[in-house]
Amino acid sequence: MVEWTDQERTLIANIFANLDYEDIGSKALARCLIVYPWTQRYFGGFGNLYNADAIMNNPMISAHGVKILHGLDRAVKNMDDIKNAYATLSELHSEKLHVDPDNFRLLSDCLSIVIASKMGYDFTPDLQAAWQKFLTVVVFALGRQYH
Amino acid sequence: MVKWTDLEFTMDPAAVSRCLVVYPWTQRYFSTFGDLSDAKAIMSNAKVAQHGVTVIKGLEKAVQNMDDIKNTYAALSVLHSEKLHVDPDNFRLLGDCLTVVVASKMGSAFTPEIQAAWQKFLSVVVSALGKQYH
Repeated sequence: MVEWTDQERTLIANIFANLDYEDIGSKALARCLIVYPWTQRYFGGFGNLYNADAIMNNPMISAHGVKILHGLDRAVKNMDDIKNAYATLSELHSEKLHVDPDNFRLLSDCLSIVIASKMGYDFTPDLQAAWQKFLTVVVFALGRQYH
Repeated sequence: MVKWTDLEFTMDPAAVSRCLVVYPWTQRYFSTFGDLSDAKAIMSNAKVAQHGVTVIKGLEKAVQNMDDIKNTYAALSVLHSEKLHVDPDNFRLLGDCLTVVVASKMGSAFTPEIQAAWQKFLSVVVSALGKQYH
C-alpha cells in the first residue's frame, strides 16, 4: 500500500480543485501525440492527425483528453487503494484497447508538463514531487492487470 | 548521427536542486553537501546550487557540439561511471526536471514542437552520458 503524507494529500487535492479539465486534458493528450508520434497508432479513427496544428485542433482528440483526465478523478477519490480502483480500467487497456503500458508514463509526463506550463513557478518542487508520486502510482495501477 | 533543426534553450541550474526533491533517492550522491532535510533546505543549499551550475555548464557543451554529442561526452561518461558511480537512469530523471522547469518558465511558449525537439536533444545527451558504462 502507498503511504501518503497529509501534505501530499493536500497538494494533490489542490491541483484537482483548480484543474481546468477542458484545457489541460485536451492539451496533454494532443501534446503526447505530437511529442511521441507513435502514440497516434491508437487514434486511427480520430480524423486528421497529419501535423501538430491538426492534432492541437482536433475536437475528437480534445474530447478524449478530457475523458482521460476525468479518469484520474477515480484515483483521487481512492488514494488509499488506487490499485484496486483501477483494476477494471487496467484490464480494459490491456484486453480491449491493447495499449502498451509504457504510454501511460509518456502521457503522465505530458500532463506534468502542461500543468507546469500553466502554473509557472507555482509548480514548486514539493508540488511536483507529490504530483509525480501520484502519477507513478496511477501508471503502475493501470499496468497491473496486464499479462 | 542525429539531424537537428534550429533550437533555443534556457537551462536552469535550479533543476538539479529540484531533482533532489522530486526524486529523493538522488540525494545519495550528495551526502557531503550539508542540509538536505526538506525541500526548502535543498532549494536554498548553496553547494547543491553550485553543483547545478556545473551540470548546466556540462549541458552547454552538448549544445555547442550538437553534431557529435557522443564523442563530446565520452570523458564525462567515463567519469560518471568509473569515478562517480551514478546510476545512468538518473540522467533521465534530471532531464525530466529540466523539462518541467523549462515548461514552467516558458508557459504556453513551450509548444509541443519545441518540447519534441528539446526531448530529442535530452535523450541524445542521456544516451551519450550512458555510453561508456559497462
